[in-house]
Amino acid sequence: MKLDPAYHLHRWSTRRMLIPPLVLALFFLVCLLVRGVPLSRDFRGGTLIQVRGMENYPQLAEVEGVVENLLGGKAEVKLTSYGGLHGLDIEADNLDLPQGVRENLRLSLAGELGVSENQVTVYNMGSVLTSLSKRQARNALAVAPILMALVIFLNFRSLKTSGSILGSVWLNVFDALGCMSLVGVRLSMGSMAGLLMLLGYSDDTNNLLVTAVEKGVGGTPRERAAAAMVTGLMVNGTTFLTLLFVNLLTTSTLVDELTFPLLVGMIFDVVNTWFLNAALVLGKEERREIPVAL
Amino acid sequence: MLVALLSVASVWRPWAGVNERTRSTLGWASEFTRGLNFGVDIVGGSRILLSLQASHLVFQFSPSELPGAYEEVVGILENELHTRVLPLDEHGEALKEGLPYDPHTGVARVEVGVRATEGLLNLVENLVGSRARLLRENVTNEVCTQTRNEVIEILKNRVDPLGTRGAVLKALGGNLILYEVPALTPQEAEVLLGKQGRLEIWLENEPLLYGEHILRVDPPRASLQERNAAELPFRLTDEGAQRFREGAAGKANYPTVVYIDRPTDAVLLVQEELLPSLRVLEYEDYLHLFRAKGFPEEGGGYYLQVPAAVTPGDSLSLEARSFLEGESRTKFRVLLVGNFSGRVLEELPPSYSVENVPYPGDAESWIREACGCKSVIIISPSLAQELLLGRTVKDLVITVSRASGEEAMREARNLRTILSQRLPVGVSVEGESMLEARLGTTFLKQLFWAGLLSFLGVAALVFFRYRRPAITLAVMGTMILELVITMGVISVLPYSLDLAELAGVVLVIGTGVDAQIIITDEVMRGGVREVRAVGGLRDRVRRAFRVIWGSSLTTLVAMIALATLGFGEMRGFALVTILGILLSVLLTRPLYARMVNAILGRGEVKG
Repeated sequence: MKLDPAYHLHRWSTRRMLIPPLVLALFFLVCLLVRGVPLSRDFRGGTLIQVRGMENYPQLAEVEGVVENLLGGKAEVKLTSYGGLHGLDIEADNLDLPQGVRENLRLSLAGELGVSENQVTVYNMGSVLTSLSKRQARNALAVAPILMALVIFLNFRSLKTSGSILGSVWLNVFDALGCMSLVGVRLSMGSMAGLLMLLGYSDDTNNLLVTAVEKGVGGTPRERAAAAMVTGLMVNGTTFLTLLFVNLLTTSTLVDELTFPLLVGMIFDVVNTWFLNAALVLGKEERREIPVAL
Repeated sequence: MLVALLSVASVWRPWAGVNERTRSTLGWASEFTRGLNFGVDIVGGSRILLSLQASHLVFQFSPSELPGAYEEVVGILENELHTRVLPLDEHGEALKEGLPYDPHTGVARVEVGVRATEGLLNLVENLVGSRARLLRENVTNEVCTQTRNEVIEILKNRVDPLGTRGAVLKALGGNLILYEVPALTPQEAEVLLGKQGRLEIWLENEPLLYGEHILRVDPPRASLQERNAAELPFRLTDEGAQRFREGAAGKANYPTVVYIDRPTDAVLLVQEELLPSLRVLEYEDYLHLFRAKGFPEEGGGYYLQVPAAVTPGDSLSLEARSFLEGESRTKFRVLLVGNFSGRVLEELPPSYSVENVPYPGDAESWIREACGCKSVIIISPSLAQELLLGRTVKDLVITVSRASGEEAMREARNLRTILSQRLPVGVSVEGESMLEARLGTTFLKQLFWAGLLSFLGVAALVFFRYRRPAITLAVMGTMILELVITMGVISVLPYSLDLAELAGVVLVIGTGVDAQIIITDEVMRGGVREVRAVGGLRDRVRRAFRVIWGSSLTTLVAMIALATLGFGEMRGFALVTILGILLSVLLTRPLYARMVNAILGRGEVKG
């Protein structure tokens, strides 16, 4: 029996097609309400521990392990050097450490690394966002959806169509955020970039669907939607494959944070575009019941 | 194809040298990527710890004397400390609304852009006198959030105005800022980050103009009048032009002395052995100042406005020591001009911190540099006459002379950056270190394998879908072209390629075929009869382009949002993506459309 990815487009009612994406959205809504989205050091800030004047570099993984055990949060180590001596800059997720904990951290690290306490300094580290840049960020995030909506509206000249596309696109982002909340992937500059990229990638498939159904020639709307779905899966497939290889084969936290929302977003896009948006677009076309001339 | 070839040449640049840091990190790969600038995580960079020189002072006024006494004190502090005075609220943050003092208790908090030392507090109490009482126990060395954020934004604009260099600034506790940037040497960092950019122009040994009187600073140019010199044009505000006219009218040939970051809290200690080599400057020991020889109307006869003591290099003279002790109430640093023995340094009064002034090439420049004296502008007779006749002049030029023309231009460019982005408080470099490449070749190797496997996987998918080698070759060939051209364009722009940007380049492999797939599917859908009925391949390609344009524009908007709110790598990633989209829509998609027309059009005609 041949597997038909567009089976539901041929056989299901538009109402039934709405169920999977709505169930998914509800599930992730609960995740977000219960767990929220954790913020990374980029946005929250953290703790910076500087070690200077070392003769040699220690094993980074060991140092990260020691700090993570002491503080209970993730840590990242960067190697520094100056004047022939080596140093470490350790960035940890913990915020506003009490003085006692900082002292204990200094003593423990100094002992582990074989340096004196004076060579270890602990700082509270702020976020990369200043108040000015937070304002800029808020403005950008407020303006971007409006501009996107305008672009989509100018393309299709229909409020309903634009609304269904925007709904599907933003639902992808919502589901990706929900998945991040579920899995514990932090919101950072990298994952923020991934979510914004997802807006563009999602629009690809939705554009395909709507153009095929409303502007395509030949066949019924459902047949055209099914044909577009094959193209859409192909488009998603090539992007997904590349993202998967980059995510699996590179060991950078930043790249992982960038690719994760895109990867899960591509999966949710299949549901939100080819079930939710398809249901809305097909429903609209079927209500018009305009015969298509062959 | 021509653009692709140029792109390859631009990335490779066989005629250019290889950056040593890049070579040591990347090895042989650096030979073929000379046109690319790599970021901190790939080749390392600099990490600099900056300290903001600011403090919070708390005064007690008599409520009945407010607001007059408060305004007087603020005016005195601004003029005498040469710093901004920022009113604070009770939480130590910049006052947003309301009175800058408590009308019931008479307590007022202000932030000044100088570090609170014992000497400074004594100076402040002397200056303020009976107008208010300084509550020493409440004085702290800190900056408010507004000032810290201002400094961070200004420093970002100084070093990474486009946000593509990958510079990252983070506030640490207290007055500290951590600055991370690829390929900035500690010397460059010292110049661009450690200077406040406080401008003063003096005439007849009195300050005439300050930084706030400058409207803008224009790009520097090589000087035509002087060898090894660069000119930095700048424009005055209306008020500045007015002050200049009132001060300089009729003063033909008079020198105006330009200072940037004149050390108002320091004394020079000059090695006696340097004095015979001075041509223009001479030391007036009864004033403890260096003076340019001559008379003002002959273009000379001005004092360098930083007190100085002179002593032999091997011992601190009694006179110098006595002078330094006398100045210790208002001065807190000694700037060393010369080579001094350890004995001299030991004999300095302990209240001073000691700094070495880098030797610029000759003794005269050394002294000027230590004083912050950047240039002397002589008022020409014609200009003096014009000013006398009431004409306002707004455009002036600072001339910077160095050992070579290139050095002069570099100094002028740095000056322009510093003057255009003036800091509200002083900044000092507390520590600097080179950041090792965290991932370096490891990441590049990983990315190479990810790219190769993606390429093979995508090619397999495309072939599996269409079962036509010509289509597969066309799709993958167009994608490769797009990749090469994207890298070529990146190589001519001021990007630092770091993890996110490189990942973005590899992602082009997956996204770069999307539009080709859409075009191909649209063209292949339906039979010959339909194609003829609705206008042929061209109409189908046009429909496909509509989808592509629509989604490209949406991605562009999203990436512009990211470029706006992103920093360092994320901004670079957004710009790489925007570049890829523009190149694909304008260049490679139309190319592919022609190719698929040729491949499938021939097939349709035969069918």
